[in-house]
Amino acid sequence: MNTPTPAPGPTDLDLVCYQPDLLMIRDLIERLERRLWRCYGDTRELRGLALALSEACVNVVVHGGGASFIRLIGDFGKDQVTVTMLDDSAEFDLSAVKASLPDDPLAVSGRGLFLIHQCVDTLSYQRVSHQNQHRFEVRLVSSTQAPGAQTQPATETATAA
Amino acid sequence: MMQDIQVDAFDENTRITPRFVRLDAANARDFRDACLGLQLTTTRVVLDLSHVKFIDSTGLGALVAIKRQLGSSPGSGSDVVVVVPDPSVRTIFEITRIDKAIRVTPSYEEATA
Repeated sequence: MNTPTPAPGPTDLDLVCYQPDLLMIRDLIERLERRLWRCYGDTRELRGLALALSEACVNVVVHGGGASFIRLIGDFGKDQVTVTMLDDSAEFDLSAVKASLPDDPLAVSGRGLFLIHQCVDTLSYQRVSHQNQHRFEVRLVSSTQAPGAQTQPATETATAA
Repeated sequence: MMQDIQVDAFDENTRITPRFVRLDAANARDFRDACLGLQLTTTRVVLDLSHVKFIDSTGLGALVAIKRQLGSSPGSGSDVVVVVPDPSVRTIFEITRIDKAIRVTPSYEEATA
């Protein structure tokens, strides 16, 4: 299966949520997934990108002291997808953090940063104008859909928890 | 949360099936608390994630917390198995090596075999 080539554009994705909480983060990531799936289909790399961004957004809400906004700006290329995440929470460079699994396999926490690093090819950071700017990049290696791929993103079918 | 979780108790195992498709930071703690609040009567507990298509680190943490608490003493719920049919979700268990600490199977039948 050939990966469809999205129409070129300087900004292929621009999503924002204000005063984000965890449910808003979920909604933001679902919107991201819908855009990605629509352009490329449901691939392993893009599922990983969505997971990495979800982890990063949750990190802002839970550990970053909160933010007044989180914004996702995406550039969809033929062979790679780049999403820049901007937020105004406390300065924090995800790319500089040592990403390893907890020694205890039954540790309840400590896997989020590891998953971020595992799921993207390149992660970079800048602090600009009191904002964190993380750049997530994945190369689209597989031209086939993810195993168990679905045509729609994983949206809730039951009452929101 | 309980209305989003189906609980079926059989002779040898209890099957807990969340009906939502995302187990993430927005619902993982409620899911954990709901599971740990159940009155279990079987040794084996099967967490059937057949509906789950997305799991994040908080969701994984909730499963680990359930395993830790239920498995900490012999008796009801001490054998926790997680059913993960979705290969992409199962990959998350593999790269975080949680599958080394918790038994993960692709089907309910294999979980109870």
